[in-house]
Amino acid sequence: MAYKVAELETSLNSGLEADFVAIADTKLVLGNWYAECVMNGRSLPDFAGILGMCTVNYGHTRAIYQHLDRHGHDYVHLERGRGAGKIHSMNLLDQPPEGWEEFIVTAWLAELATWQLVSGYLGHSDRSIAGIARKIGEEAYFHLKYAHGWMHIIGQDADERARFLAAVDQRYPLALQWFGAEDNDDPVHAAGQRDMPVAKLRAAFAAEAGKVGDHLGGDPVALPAPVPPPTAWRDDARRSGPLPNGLFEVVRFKDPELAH
Amino acid sequence: MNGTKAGAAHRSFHSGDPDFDRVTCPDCDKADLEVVSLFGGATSEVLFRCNACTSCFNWIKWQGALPPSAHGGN
Repeated sequence: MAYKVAELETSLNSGLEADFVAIADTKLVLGNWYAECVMNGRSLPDFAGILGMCTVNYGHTRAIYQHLDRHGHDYVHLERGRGAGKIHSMNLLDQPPEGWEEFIVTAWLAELATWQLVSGYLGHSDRSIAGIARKIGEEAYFHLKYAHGWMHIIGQDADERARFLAAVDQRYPLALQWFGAEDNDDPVHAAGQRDMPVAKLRAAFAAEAGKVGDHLGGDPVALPAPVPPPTAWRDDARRSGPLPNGLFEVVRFKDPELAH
Repeated sequence: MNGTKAGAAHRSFHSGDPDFDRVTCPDCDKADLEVVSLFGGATSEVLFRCNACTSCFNWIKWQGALPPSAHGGN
């Protein structure tokens, strides 16, 4: 049967779109975190690694925006046209780190959370979506390895370890919040779009984050209790409130005519 | 010749990594290797040194491994 290419451009499930915008926007902000923090690296391998993770996260963002563009969205609008209230990045990344340990904690949690959510699409029937999920996983594997390496080093110094754990206490609940409440309905899973209910992805994230004591190389560490989402929480955006102005200034793409 | 103690400890830490278990030297096929740097000529590469023939080589990281997830391991 003959078909036209245009007929392939079907619209996507709205819940799937919301998940992928949240993942892409989080990776956009995470890429900017890496770009901003790279010169705080402790060695040449840090510079190389952080810049690599920066470009890889930008690449993930771009791949997802391009996929959405093929399904009725406008790439230029996704990349350049949205205000601070329309960017759906994780609240975890709203506030900058105050030190190296907090940077490592935040990058680790953001890489881990985005991987866990996208892993729910590894078996998606659209091979482009499944392929994006797998590629993110293959690259996150080494980003997490980088974080684990630093955790091994930080765990050997009592002061650094204490600062690291203080940052975990502050940041972990924000990352967990991203998955929504434990008992939320999951229409995306019910519609057969995601092959795992988000509650299982959330549990997998918590289980991996719970290995923090192993990575630090000491006694087990109890993670802080979940914090209920604020009243301004938006399920579709997986966040509350707009991006802070200072962060939006860093993240936003400049007008094309000014970008010379 | 092998640099500082800290540098040696760093290489030793990475050299024991199970992700690199199956890597062998492309020149002499020996597996007696040390990781010189987790990032080689590109960030997607690891720089190895072969202790048998002393040659250095880059190895592409991606071998299809995925982080643990709700689906299980790799």
